[in-house]
Amino acid sequence: MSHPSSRVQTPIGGTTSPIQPPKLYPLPEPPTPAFIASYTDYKCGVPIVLDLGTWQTRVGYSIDDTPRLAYPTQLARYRDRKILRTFTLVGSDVNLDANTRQAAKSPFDGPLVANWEYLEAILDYAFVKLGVSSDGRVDNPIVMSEILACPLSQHRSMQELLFETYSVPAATFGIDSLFSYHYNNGSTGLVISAAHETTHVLPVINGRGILSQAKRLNWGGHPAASSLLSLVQLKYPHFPGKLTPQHAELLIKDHCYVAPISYADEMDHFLDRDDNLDERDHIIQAPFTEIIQPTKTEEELARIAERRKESGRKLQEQAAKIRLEKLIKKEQELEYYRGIEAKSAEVSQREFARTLEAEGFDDESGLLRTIRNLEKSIKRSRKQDIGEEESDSEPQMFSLLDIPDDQLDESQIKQKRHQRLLKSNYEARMRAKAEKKKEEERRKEVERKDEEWRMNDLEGWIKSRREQRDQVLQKIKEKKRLKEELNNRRSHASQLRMKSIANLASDTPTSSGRKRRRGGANEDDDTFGANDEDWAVYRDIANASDTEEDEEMAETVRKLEEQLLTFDPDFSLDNTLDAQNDWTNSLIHAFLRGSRPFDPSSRAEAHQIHLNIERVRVPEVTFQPSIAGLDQAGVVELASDVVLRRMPREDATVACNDIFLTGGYSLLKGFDERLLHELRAVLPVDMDLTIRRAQDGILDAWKGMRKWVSTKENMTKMTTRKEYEEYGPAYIKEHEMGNMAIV
Amino acid sequence: MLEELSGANAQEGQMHLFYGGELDVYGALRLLGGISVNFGNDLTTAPKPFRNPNAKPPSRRVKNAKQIISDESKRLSSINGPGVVDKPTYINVEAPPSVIPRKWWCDITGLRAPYRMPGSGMRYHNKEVYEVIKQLPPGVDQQYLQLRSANVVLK
Repeated sequence: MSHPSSRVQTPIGGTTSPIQPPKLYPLPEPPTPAFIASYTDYKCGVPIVLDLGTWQTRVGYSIDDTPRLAYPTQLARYRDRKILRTFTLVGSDVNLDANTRQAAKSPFDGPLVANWEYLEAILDYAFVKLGVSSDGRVDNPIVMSEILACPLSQHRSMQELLFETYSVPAATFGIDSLFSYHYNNGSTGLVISAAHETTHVLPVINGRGILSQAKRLNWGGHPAASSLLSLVQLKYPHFPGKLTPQHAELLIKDHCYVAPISYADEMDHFLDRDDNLDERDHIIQAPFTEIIQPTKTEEELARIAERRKESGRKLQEQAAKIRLEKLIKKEQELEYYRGIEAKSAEVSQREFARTLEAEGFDDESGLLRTIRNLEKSIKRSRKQDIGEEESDSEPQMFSLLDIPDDQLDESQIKQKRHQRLLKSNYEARMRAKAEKKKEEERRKEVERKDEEWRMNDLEGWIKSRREQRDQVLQKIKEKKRLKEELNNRRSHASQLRMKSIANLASDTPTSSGRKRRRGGANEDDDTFGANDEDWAVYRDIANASDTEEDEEMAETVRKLEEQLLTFDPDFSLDNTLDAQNDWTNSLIHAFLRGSRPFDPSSRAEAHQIHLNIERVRVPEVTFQPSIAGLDQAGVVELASDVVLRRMPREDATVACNDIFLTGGYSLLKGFDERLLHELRAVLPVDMDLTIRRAQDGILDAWKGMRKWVSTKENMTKMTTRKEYEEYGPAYIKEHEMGNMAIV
Repeated sequence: MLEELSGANAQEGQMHLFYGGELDVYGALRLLGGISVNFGNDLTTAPKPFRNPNAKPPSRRVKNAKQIISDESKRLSSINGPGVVDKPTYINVEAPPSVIPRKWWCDITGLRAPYRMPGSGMRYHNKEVYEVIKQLPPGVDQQYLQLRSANVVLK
């Protein structure tokens, strides 16, 4: 037998929470656009370079070093009903107002142009802002970007638009990633472009793109942003702020990165509660307004508390008085019915039956039941407080009670009636007190016996306590299970509930069905409510969690655990229910709220988003498209397939020496590192691997177009107006940067 | 009139005002709360001398990606017959399905997911996530599955 030892209790979870305030990142907002004035120096005849991307459109003359305009490819139409005018806002002007920002539209559906009217507005905007003033035509050759393997209908419509609506003298189209490679002085290599809508792998040999070996993955910055937005919305379904796709885009840019070695390695310890969890878990703080509670002075608070206490005391007194009166009434009733019951032995059967009927009972069992119920309820109410203050003192004098009425005058009779009432009150109270005392003694006896048991048989005692605890835990579990089952409409629990509801709502409720079956005689005697358990039906059908009962059970568990902690050497703090449910052990808590406890009352914390796994999970789709449900090979698989199976070995060896990364989405941190790591693992050891990024993954395509069009020779590769008129809008003049004609 | 206008505008902090027609200017300033947008930003009325006045726009101007792709594949099959095109087209440059066995990740947390929920097919990391999934409100499991296009689509 081991000696019970006291333990020092340490607060659970208190030791691990860091003291430093968390680092907060503000929710990035798209900048409020400045007004862009139109250029006034229109340069007639100088080629205009137009990099039309799904995310951003960049426009400038071929003599510029950088594009003059770079604006998001979006527009918003707004109709002002007062002045009956429709406004068209393009580019970042869309962000001028919350209404138009919400109505922002893109001409693109995926990488393809779906709405040519919008696209025309986007181009109009470019020419307006460039200050094109030539009459009835745009008097500049146009170099424009085009997607890889552009469908002919797209090419035709675009060419038509340029030559018809804008009457340009010449135009040509090319693939943006090839232009970017051209700008970065590449000649033979493997171009990997991760852009806004798509990601593609495209080998280049001697400056010419080998389109037949290219592959396109339908994933990029835009689907990634949508995916992040959905993830965050599902993670915080009650998030009070508003999150837009623009927010998601900026969050990806600022916080996401590609797992450097592999996603699995990165994930394995991502949510572990180590010292670096705070670094991995980025807290995004959305704007919020703090609600300031008017603070009350100490004095006021004290006064309010006093007032509350006073009224509470009054209410208690009143309630105690009412309870006492009820108790007395019940006692009298019980006495009366007992008298009737006693009569049954004395009078004849028939007379007794008549008495019963007069009292409203069907038979003797009804009477007995009433007596039993009264006894029960009296016992119960005696345990309650029924006001003891005055009665504890000496019993008052009930002097008049023993004197017959005829010896008293009128006022004395009145007094006597009052005394009688007082006396019965006093007696009831005394009886209740005695009952309470007995109860107390019984409790003490139980405690004493329990202690005795513990002293003599600690092991048995512990065993029984553990069993009790397990039973309550089992009950809690059972309740939880029932609650879950109620979520499923077809479950047994749900159907029982529906039955109860239907029964309660019907005109002829069958009280509780069980009883009816048992006592066939009482068919039309609705005794609903006589049994306390009857009322449980309302609790059963109410879907809300029964917090009172839950708390009671939790309290029982806590009491038992306290005893076990004191006397059971094998039961430690870690075994308690509280410790097991503690947030420091919860993976979900780390996922949702990071390394700190969550305060639901804090407005600031309610407006926080914890980006942790999403930071890696979203960019990973480029490498494992199956994460987003895309049935396509990842970028590494595509690249290795192109290198190993599609290209001739000699070319592949040279190309692998210059793997070139371009496109806005490729700017993600760790993209190149991961690519190198994974390609190294799948490509032959004798192949040298070099990966380089474009100088500027976003602007280099435009710069490449500008560089390309600046030579006299390349100017001749453009489709001229004459050629367009002769061959029609579907004509494609092939060159090393452009798509191939398939006719 | 114009002086009044520019005065009001300066108060609003607007530097650029482009007055493009005979319209109720005050109406325009009321637009969208009258704070930020003015005629200078509007493309509808901005002069566009460069447009060819004789060009007439083609009739059908809106087509979604699905239609464009199906039109393109129809066009291609009419040229060479289906499947014999050896030149790069929008359809055949599309990445093929992966031949590497796919890995499963937890639909809720994104961690390794060795388990699968019977019924919905959601993947999950451990029993704690399992408890979370069990208590999801109806329909939310489908929203999670939609993220990887594994949701049930009723037609």
